[in-house]
This record gives sequence, structure tokens and C-alpha cells, in this order.
Amino acid sequence: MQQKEKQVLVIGSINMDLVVRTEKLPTIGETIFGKTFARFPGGKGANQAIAAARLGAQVSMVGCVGEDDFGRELFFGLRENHVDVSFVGKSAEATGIALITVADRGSNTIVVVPGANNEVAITDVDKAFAKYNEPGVLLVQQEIPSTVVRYAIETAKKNNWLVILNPAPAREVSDEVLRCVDILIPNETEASVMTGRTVGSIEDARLAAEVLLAKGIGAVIVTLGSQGAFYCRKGFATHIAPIKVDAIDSTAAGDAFVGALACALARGEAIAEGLQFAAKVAALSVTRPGAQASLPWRRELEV
Amino acid sequence: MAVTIKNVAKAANVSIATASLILNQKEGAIRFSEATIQRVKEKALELGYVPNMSARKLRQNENDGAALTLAVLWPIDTRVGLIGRLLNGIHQYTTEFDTVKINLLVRTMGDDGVREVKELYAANLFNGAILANTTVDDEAYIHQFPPSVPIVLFNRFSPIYPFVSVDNFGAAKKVAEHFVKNGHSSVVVLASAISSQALEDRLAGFMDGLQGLDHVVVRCECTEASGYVVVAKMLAAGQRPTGLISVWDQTAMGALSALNDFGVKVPAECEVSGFDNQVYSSFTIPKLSTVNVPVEKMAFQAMKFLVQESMDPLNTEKNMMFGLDIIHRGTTKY
Repeated sequence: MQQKEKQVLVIGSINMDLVVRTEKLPTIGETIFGKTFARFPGGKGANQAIAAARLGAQVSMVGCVGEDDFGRELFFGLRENHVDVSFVGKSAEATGIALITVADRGSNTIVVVPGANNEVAITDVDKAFAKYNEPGVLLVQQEIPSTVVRYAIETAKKNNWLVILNPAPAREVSDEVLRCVDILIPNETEASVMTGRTVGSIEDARLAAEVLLAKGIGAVIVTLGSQGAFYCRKGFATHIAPIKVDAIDSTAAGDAFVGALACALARGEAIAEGLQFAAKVAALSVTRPGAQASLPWRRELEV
Repeated sequence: MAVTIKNVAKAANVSIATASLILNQKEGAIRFSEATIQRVKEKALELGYVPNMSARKLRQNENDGAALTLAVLWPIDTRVGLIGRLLNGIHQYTTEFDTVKINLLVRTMGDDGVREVKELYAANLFNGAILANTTVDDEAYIHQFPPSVPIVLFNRFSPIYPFVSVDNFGAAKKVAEHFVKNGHSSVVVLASAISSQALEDRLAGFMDGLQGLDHVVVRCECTEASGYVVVAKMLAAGQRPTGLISVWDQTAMGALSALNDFGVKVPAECEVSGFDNQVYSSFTIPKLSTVNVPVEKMAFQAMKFLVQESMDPLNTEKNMMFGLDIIHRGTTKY
């Protein structure tokens, strides 16, 4: 039975990460010299869109950038990675940025200025859904206004789309919204915030997943970093063992996982195979440095 | 009442912890004297203590994460020979799908079929099951009382459950058409005495393909012995069938043996064709012509469906049909 490949629609953030490496973090009022400076395209929405597109999914992105150099760079970056950018708007607000200072010992400070990401509007969501007659896979995160996230999820549900919510960064989500979510993919921190209980171990993840599932979500996948993930739906729960690799940089591993799962489900695969694929993609991404740079292409997985 | 470890401990005059260490063969048991170990084991035997396997399983799962326990339900009859090929296909899948640890459980069924497998409804032993060689009665039962765990039917059809199956009717019809083409005057059809949708479909396919050709249908047990007896009796009574087709390799092989014993030349005087391509069918004299059922591929797919169903009830792809190949070896003229 050959199924038609579904559209993946990502509604989320597009940022430029500005990374400074220093010996130590500056204290209040202090001026220090940094060692290096670099900028990397980022934003969870863009990362996940690119992750899915590189794996061969038909991906369309709804987001917003500023009419500035960063905005243009990010816009073309998405396009180069085969993401359809017809619904990426341009705003008078500056492109979203993350100012990241990483000290030698690995401690960091991050300041995010959402800028144009806050300009993503309900009308943009409507325009995107209007383009598709067939239901697809919706992928949303929480780096854009919560009203837009909510509207996107409810609209998708109404039109029989498969709804995946990666609730990052963590914030409270109303139960009415969660009821429309088919697959919720929080990490430990997000699961903690959403359930009010600490999530560190696999057992914690099981309990948190059960609490979340009780809210009416179809399935919950708590990602646990090097401990793998915990998958749970009504009547079934299992730990997904991690794939052992030499980890170099875990940045965007979560985005790789979420993007890959969306891609597999859009291809018509079942969750079982989707999880296997996503775990493989995430494992591969941590073996190399960078965020978007570490996201694998489909050909790299075909051996 | 069930004998527990407490009863054994009391009878052997040791603590419950000591009895548990010894009976569960834990490493800690090494510190007890031979005499104590002997005494506890003897008392356990005497009282008829049986370890609670499901409790053990629960404890294990706490350590290594929840595993998916999947069952194959298989009736004990002559078709049991096919289970090797089935396990082979299942193993191929579990080797490939390494995301979740899968424990496989084979549950044999007696005359009561699925009715006796209470775990399908209690959902306390396995997360899902492949149902193979089900009878018409089994099928009616599961469609009337849906099990509480996901199931996949093997070589059967269902409007509601996922299944893997083959076009038994179509392939059987083609086999029969071969006999028609070769201008036979009298054909014996060996059909099954057991209840099986697949075997009935094969019989129906034979009938459809043979139309107009003189034939007789004999229902017999699906064993080599009954194939032999049926055909030997015919030959002893002076009948000389020119063709013999069977819904099942085993009866075909018995028939072939009888033809050999009565000096009937195969395939010159009588063509023979089986069904299933069991391993031994290519080692008979002459080698048995048959229909290959891709059991390994079907088992692989059945397991895949079962894992998908167990992990996600919303999964939509529900069934798959496999092609059948007619294999002409030494018992047919082609």
C-alpha cells in the first residue's frame, strides 16, 4: 500500500545565534576580551524544519525575519536547505537573535531577543493551511507567541493534521491545547515544568509521561539526552535505549530527533519505525559540532 | 492455595530472605552451607513450590526498562513444522528493529484454540500476539470478543484486524489450470479435514481451475500418513489417477510415497503437486512440485505490524498481501 507523502508544516522561530567564547563570564560592570566570535543560523523552528527537509521531507515553514542582513541570510539559508519559504514573512522588527557567551569551563549565558519572531501572526497560519487540501504533519515549538501556537494546533486538529508539539522553551500549556496534540516531545526540563515534578531518571520520565498522557495527549516522548527517550501512549510505555556514539556536541540533537520523527511520520511510517529513525538521526548529529551544521542529510543514513 | 516462598522458608526453618536467595539462585546464596541449600530445595519440592515467573519478569523490567513481550499463538497440529520458518522471519525483524527490546513468547494452543488463551483478554502476559493457523471457530470468537491486546492474523483475512496473507485461491487455481492444460483424465484433490480459511481457499481455487475435468475430492488429516493411506487404498482398488493435487505438502508427500510403492511413474503416469514449499519438499524422489508461501517474509511483516500496533493504535497501514510462486520440480510435467 503506497501512501502519498505528507506535507510537513513547521510554525516556529528563526534566529541568528551570536556566540562569543571567553575565558570566564564577565561580572556586572566588567569589560573583558572574548577569544572568538561566530554566528550560526538557529531557532528551534528553523532547525527542525531543516532537519526534516535534509532527510527528504517536503517542508514548509511559517515564521518571520527582519528586513536586515541576518534576516536575508537566514531566509536564503532555509531555501538552500530545500525548505519552502513562501510563508516566511518579513517584518520591520529586527531578526530574532540569541546572544550566547560560552566560558572555557562550558558555563554559558544566553540572552534571546525574539524580535521578528513575535510578529508571526494568526493570519500567517491561516494562509499556510489554506494552501494544503490534504492533511499533513504540523510541527510547532514555543519560541513564537503562545496565541499563535495555540491557534496553529487547534486549526491543524480541526483539519485532521497530525500535531507534534515540542514544548520548548518550557512554559505552561493549557489542557485544552494539549488535548489537540497527537505527539508531545518534551525534554527533561520541559517535562519537569509541565508536570511540576523533577525529571532526571527514566523512572521520572515514565511518571511525567503518564501525567501528561492523562491530559488527553495521544502520545508522549520524553527525550533524555544520553539516556535515550521514554515513549508512552495509552496502554503502552517503553524506554527507548540510546544509541551509543562518541558524542562531541549535543547542540540541536533534540531538533534533529523531532525533525526526523516528523519526516518519518510524513512518509507514512508508524511511530515504531519513526522512533528508530529519529534516534539514529539524533545519534549521528551529536557526533559532529554545530547546530544546523550537524543535521544529517538523507544520503548519510542510507547505507 | 498456592505454596509461597514463605511456606518453604517455614518448613525448612530458614528466613524468607534465605529461602528466596536459594530458590531464585541469586549470587548471595553462595554463603549458605550445602546442607541448608539442600534442605530448602527439598522442602520446596516436597511442598510443590512453583516460582512466580510473572513476578520475576516484573522485577527484571525494573532493571532493564520495559520490554515489549510479543507472543506467537500456534495450534499444535501437523502444521507445527512451519514454525521454524516463521521464527526465522520474526528473528530477522527483531534483529533489525533494535529500538525497543522485544521478548518473544510462543504459546501453543490445543483443541480449544484461542478460547484457552485467557491472556489475550487479561493482557497480563504479552503486549500483543500473532495468531497463526486459526480455525474458523477461532476467527468467529475473536471477531465477537475483541482481545484487549493488539493482534495480527497470519495467512488469514479480517475486516478489522491487521493481517498478512497470500492469494491462496489464485495460486491454487493456476496449479489446477496446469493439470487441465496437460489433459488429465482423472484428478484426485487432497483437501484438509481441519478448519482453515487458507486451506479452504486453496481447495476453492483448485475447484475453480479444474472445472469440467473429472476429479474427486478427498478430505483427510494433514499428515504424510493419511496422504499415503488415502492414495494407497485407491491404487489397491485398481484406480489409476493421472493427477494428484494437495492443499498441503505433507499429504502430497505421503501420496507420492504410495505412488512409488505401487510402481506408478511420477510424473509420466501421474503428476503430483503440493502447497507451501516446506523444506523437505525439495528432497523427495522425484522432487515435489509445490507453491512457495513466503513464510519468512510474512512473519517479518506480521511482527512489524504487531510492533507498530502495540506502540501506536492509530497506525493506519493494516495489511499486506504476498505473492505466491508455483514451483515446478520433478513431480509435474512442464
